Amino acid sequence: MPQKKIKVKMFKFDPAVENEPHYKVYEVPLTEGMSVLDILDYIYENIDSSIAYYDHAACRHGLCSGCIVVVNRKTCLACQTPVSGDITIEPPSKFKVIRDLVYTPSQIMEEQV
Amino acid sequence: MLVEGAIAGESAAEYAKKVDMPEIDEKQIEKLMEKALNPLKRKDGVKPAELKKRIQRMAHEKLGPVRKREGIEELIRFIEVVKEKELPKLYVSSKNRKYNKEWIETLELENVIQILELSAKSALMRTESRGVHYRLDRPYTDNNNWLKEIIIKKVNNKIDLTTRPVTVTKLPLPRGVIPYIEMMKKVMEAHSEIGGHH
Repeated sequence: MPQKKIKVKMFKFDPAVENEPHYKVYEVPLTEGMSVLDILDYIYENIDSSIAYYDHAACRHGLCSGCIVVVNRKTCLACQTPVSGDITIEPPSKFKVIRDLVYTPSQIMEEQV
Repeated sequence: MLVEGAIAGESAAEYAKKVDMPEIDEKQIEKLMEKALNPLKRKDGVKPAELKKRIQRMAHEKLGPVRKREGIEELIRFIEVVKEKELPKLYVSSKNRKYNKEWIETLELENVIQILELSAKSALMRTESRGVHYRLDRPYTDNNNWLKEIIIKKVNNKIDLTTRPVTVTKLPLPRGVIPYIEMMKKVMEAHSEIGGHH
């Protein structure tokens, strides 16, 4: 059986060089049990290593909530959300984007900085 | 912990008041800056994610808990090649310094390779099996020769490995040469509710 491929539509935005965000579609071979974070890892490792998503200190166990994203218009943790078909991945806030899916988490954090 | 942190902070500030600032070696900073920024300037070369995968695979294969001399030597040769030919060619595709995963990985890989080299060289030096260091070519725990710790030092920019005897306080140390697998079976029996029949 040929491997199932899904289309991943991802929010891309680099405020340093772009005026507004756009979306990019990646085709990813789906294996059973893949999470949204696995999908992002796959894209980073095999297709586009320029994508930005929270990963450097992610616990990958649903505890740290660092990998929070919006998948198909629903807010979720990338590491805990299984993938079964085409998806759209966006940051939780499109107004505080640092780059792609990485954003400034909350007002409180901003005030502390 | 918070109290300790506050005390540490206060005494650090106290100390800083008393001492002069050491002179900063601008040349050294320049060198380090250049080294860190070069991967952002390169247009092509070795991809960090791809190299990391290869390093992980080699480390897993050759330096897992079960290892042997030939494998460790092969890993050390691999490390030499990576250091000489691949690390200097790493390049980062996105040039934005903000949250750049690829750049982080590039900077980390040099440390990864260093730790791996030190682990491999010590594993090669320890010609016995002990704990999670099971050498197929030396399948016994050698208490006569290896109740020692391996000390790694940097001498003239080279890795220098020496040993020192372990520190003994109360418990007497075991003696003799013990076959590793048999010893593991005994340990499992002693610590398991089902007599080690896992």
